[in-house]
Amino acid sequence: MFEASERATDVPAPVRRYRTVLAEQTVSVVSPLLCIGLWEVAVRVGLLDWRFFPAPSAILSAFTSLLTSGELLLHTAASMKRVLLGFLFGAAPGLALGLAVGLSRWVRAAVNPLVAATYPIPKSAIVPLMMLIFGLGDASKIALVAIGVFYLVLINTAAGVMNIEPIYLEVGRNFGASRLQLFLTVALPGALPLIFAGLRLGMGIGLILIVVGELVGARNGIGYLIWQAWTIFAVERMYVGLVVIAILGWVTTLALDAAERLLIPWKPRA
Amino acid sequence: MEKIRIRGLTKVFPTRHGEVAALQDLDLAISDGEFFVLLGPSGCGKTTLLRIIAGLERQTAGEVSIARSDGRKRSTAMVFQEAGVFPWMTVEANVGYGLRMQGVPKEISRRAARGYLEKVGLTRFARAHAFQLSGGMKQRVGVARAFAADPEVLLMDEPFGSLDEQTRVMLQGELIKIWEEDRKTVVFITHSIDEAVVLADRILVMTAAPGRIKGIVEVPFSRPRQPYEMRADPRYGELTHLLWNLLREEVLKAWAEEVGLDVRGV
Repeated sequence: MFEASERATDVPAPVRRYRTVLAEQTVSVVSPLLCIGLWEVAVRVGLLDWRFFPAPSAILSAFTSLLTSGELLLHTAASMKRVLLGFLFGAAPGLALGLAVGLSRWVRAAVNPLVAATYPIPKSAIVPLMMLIFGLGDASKIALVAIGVFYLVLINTAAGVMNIEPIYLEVGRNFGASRLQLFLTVALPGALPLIFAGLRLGMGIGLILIVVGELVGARNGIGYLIWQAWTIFAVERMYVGLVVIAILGWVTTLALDAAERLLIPWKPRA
Repeated sequence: MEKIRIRGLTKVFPTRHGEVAALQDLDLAISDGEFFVLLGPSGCGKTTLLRIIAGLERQTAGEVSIARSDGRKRSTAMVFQEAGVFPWMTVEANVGYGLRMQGVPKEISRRAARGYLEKVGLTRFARAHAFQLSGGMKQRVGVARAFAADPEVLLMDEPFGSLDEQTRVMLQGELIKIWEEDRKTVVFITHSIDEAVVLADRILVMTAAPGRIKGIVEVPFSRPRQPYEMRADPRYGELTHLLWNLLREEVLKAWAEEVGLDVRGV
């Protein structure tokens, strides 16, 4: 005991810290692998019903066969295209209107009641309306995603502008910034952190809505893949769809993280 | 030569309990190249006066005029109490901000920013952002930014008020040195008697709200000043005592107003 504690102090602090971090990372990697392993075993010994919970190995083989046939790429690309276009068509007007709402009390007075009244409507409830207006093609899915993204970017951008510390606007005015300069040098950069929060939330809701939109009335896409797997009772394919959506969520988060690091270099980071 | 002339300046704020006068019929003349300090109890309208001079607030009555030496110059640049260093710009971009807003070419505003960063000892931090700076460093950036903007008049609203005393004394020394190089007219707010004596050519003691002139005191120390030696000079003690005498009554009045107590016996 005594000896051991003495030896521990011989290890320099940075090395000890490094070891702790390494141990943490190991746990983070091992824990999900362990769960997958347990799942596999549970299915094989019959503890889990393979019809509802196919073994990870079965899902993996379904994944590779879908991948090699090119089918998976087709569905993923179709969904990605809709999500990205919808994101663009929703975020751009959301950003513009959000800035206007944050900067002008008149725009705020005009827009606020409309947003307050329509924002609480679940976006999934307007899927039939979207199909009625935009048809069964890509347009209805893109519009659905765009509407979901629009609200989140609008609300967060407006909050971002309104939450800028008044001192910064005063500094701008005192140093002679024009209205346009005030907007470009204070309002926009000051609101960026919350704008990014809105973009993140928007991307999250976009992935939800694209699956919802594709479940009904689509001929491709991840949502279609999941729905079609249900109709033909190919449960492994259904799981492949879930895995792909999870991966898409992860990749888009990484992309937004990278964009944020590039655009907000002044944000303190751990 | 007069640089700032203030005549009959009154500022009234509407509140729920009727109108409250922050400034009442103030007349004041500040000379060109003067370091002028406003000293007064908190809530006496010092900041209101400064904000009216800066054009950030509008007076109810009276007028403020600033003599122009150059039509292109901004009339004022302010050092704010909370520094107000833009977190999204580098230190250098912050210091060059005033000139950039005036449309001065980037190269020239950069050079001016570099020059003042050197004077406040922040050259190494030119590329840093606000979150990497201490409170004292942020105030240095605020001071450099105001000087670099090269306005007719510099306004400083308790710029060192939130700093610890040692940092504060260091920054006062730096400010004196930078200011003595080109002696631009300064209006400086503080509630510290020591700070007022060390920095000022003249000190205006204001009454509790509504702010009026209680007295104006000349500071006899010559320039260039050595604050460290000044504090050991017997005149420093006399002046401090005189100012505290002027101020005491007003501080008590302001305090009584605030807590609603009768403190006539204190």
